Amino acid sequence: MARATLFGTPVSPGIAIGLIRFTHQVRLTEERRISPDEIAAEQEKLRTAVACARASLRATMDNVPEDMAEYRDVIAAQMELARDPKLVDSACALVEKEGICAPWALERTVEDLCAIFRKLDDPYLRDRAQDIRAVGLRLRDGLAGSQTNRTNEQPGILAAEDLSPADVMELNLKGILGILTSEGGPTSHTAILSRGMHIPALVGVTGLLRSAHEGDSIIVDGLSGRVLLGPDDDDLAHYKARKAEFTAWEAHTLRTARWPAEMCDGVRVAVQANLESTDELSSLAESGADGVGLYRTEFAYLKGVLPSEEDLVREYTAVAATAAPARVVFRTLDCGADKMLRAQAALKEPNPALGLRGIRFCLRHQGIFRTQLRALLRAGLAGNTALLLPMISGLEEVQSVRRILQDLHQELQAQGLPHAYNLPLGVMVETPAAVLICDALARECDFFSIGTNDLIHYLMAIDRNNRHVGYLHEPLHPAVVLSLKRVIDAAHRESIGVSVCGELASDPYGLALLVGMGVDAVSAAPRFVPGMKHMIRRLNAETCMDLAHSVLMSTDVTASKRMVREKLHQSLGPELTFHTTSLLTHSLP
Amino acid sequence: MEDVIEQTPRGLALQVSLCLRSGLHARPAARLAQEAQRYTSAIWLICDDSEADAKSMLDILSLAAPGDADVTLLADGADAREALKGLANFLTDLED
Repeated sequence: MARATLFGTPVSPGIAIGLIRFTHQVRLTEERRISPDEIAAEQEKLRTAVACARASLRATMDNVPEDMAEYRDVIAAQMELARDPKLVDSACALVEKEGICAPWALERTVEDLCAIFRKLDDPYLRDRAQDIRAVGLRLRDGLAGSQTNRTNEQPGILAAEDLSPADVMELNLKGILGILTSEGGPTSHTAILSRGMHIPALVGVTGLLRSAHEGDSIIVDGLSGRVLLGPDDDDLAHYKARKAEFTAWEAHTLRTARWPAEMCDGVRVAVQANLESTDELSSLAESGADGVGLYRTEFAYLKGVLPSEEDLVREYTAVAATAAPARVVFRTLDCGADKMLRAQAALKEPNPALGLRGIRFCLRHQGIFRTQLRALLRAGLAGNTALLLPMISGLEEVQSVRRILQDLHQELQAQGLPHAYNLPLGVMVETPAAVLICDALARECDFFSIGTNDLIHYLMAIDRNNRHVGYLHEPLHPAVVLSLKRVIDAAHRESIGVSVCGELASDPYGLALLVGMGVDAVSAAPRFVPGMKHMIRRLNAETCMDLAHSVLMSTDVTASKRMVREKLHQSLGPELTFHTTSLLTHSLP
Repeated sequence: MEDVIEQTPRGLALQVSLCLRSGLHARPAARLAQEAQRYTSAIWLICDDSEADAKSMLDILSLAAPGDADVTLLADGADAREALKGLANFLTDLED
């Protein structure tokens, strides 16, 4: 086949070379008119396919690991969809009315249903068209009598329209070299799973299903976001070499993960991990992280029932004890925007990102907040812990929390419960208000942590879920860069530490810039920690300072981008392309 | 619970208020459809002016009922009364 290049969004780094395998075997639907005496048989085929699909879904459900209960619900919903009268009865009726074969009737019914859902106002319901499609594909495979090649042992590069959680659970991950989907984004199941399994993956690959065929030889470049169809010998040699380089680089960063992140001229930066739940604790030691820079505490609150103080003490103690003697920074409950509690959802705020979230919610609902703080104080004895307050926009918020902590200290003492007193109290700098009053805040708290994702959204006045203004998410915008510098300087004037825990920290360009501005610590997903430490060791503090200085003086984003790219290329050379970046797309070699 | 079953020309009807965090979404809709299929009566779910076959998850979903909607259950058939009681209990206890 002809050599061609397709582009997609890289969601998991690495390079894969192999043969393409489609999850759903049948890609063309049989379209055949049938005679009246075939009707009953065709309808029967449909019902059998339904029974088969449901049986295989049930079997899959039993294989879902205990900690992925949310997948089980998605699969249960698919089982229900597979026997939905709207789907099955309509398709059977179509067989009879139009005199067409079962697969054709099924395809048309699925298309009609998807069309109805795609037209709905509610974005959640629009996305359910995907589920209908997934069930439709499963039934189609059942009708064709071919169970999909999920159990195929031959290694290959998996390609699909999209992977549903059920598909993901059925995959034999051993044989998968890479993953490509034509739909989906950076937060899809595919993305999360592939990152976790260290499998190179691209999502949103345009033209994938049209241009590729089962068994084609392809190359997936998860570093630059390219798919090469029908590569020639030169391509193969080139990518084999690149793959070897990347694997060696990755292995090297892992081997040296525990080395300190010390720059060539002796300046040290702490590289910490962001964690979401106790499940991730196992990856902490391997990543070589200097403690936990951000422990998100929301997870325990999203289960319908509020967690008890004892539950929380257990969770926080486990985290603090595992990381000890390194520090764990616990961010207090930050619900809102995309993760909501029932009490919050009930408010029906038209714009929750600007509503009662973070510390605002906690100070309003002090019962929930006090329970969490009591648990944090009690778990404070298990290791080296600190508290971090999200969404701070005023000094009084910090002072209120200090008063509550004082109160709880006395309460716990009276009850004779052992607890830590005087835990360091930090402030999350993520609102423009906090940036402007950072001098005062620095005197009121013990450390700063800059959440770059939210800070950029609030500074640029963009809604994170609104694609139309996504182009304004620009970390090198002068407003963002000047804010970062202001906060870092204020912290240092008051001799408190400042760390950065947003996406910017794991981006190579962002990291160099932050280090140049003098941050004391950066924090990112454990997956990225070894690479970040390795990169810092190859940098020079003085070069980074120069770089930060030039970017701070620049009023032109494009010029800033060119500057950081050139400077970093000089320091790191080709290794730069091994880091995943969202800030800049790599220039072609 | 407002346990008032009314007789209407189309069968028995009962009002229920939902208490869900995020609307009648896939998970609750799937469970409702599953529950409804246990009865032989024809059952509908009415929200605002649209109605759905309570045995079809897709139909329920397409109602796009908000989490705090007041819905009407309508059942016609031999076990209509049991169906209404059972499903009303199910809906009020439903959590997402």
